[in-house]
Amino acid sequence: MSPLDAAVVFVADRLPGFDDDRREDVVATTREAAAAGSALAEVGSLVALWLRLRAQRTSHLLLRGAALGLVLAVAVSAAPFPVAVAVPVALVACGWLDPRYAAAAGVIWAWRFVAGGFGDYAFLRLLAMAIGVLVAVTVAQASWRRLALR
Amino acid sequence: MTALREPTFLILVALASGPLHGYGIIKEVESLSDGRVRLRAGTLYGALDRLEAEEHISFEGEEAGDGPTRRRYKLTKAGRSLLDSEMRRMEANLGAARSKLRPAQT
Repeated sequence: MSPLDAAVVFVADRLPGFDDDRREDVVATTREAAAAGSALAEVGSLVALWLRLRAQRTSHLLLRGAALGLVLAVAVSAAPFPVAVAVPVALVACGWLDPRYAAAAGVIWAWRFVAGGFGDYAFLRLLAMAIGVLVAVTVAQASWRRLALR
Repeated sequence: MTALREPTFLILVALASGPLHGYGIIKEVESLSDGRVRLRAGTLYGALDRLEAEEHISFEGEEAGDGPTRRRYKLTKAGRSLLDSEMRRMEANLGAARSKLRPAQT
């Protein structure tokens, strides 16, 4: 297998939303097109498609997660402290399987900080919120990468 | 309605005469445009992904030959209707352009 051929298979295997049959089809078509023209340009076009689809699906997924987070943030805003903490923590745990839930947790923590204002313990609140958002973003990214590699 | 981009329009035209697989579409588009439009694989599959999601084309079946199995795509009723309305839009624009050009030429 030539390096360009290997690159085609590598990129096709990462196209989000494509099943195995479709990926095989993409590889076969790209090989034929590369044999008839510029192999480098064909690989370049596949990389561009991969990046575009990935960006589209990432923003779509994260927007849905953010919307869910806003709804839950309002719902738990009046809840007792243990519930208010348990909900985003549970969402981060679910976020390992689906990045939308981790994004939702990030929004809840950000919302709780904004809603709480800058009163007592502002620094601690800011630190807690920042750690929460950082954990949620990290989990969302890891989960997304796993999904994209499927 | 937003105008179709040229590659998308030509893909729909290529599929109007019957189902084709990916490379078949590339060759047909090249032939339809007299070699002017040469679709890259990434452009083709980006357009096919979008057109399939919008139900303008559909998966018709697989074509097994000497090489790997190939997916064939066909134009749906909605796709044919989209192609018809795009042709009407282009014809209207052409008519308007011709009517503007004729007096200037005489």
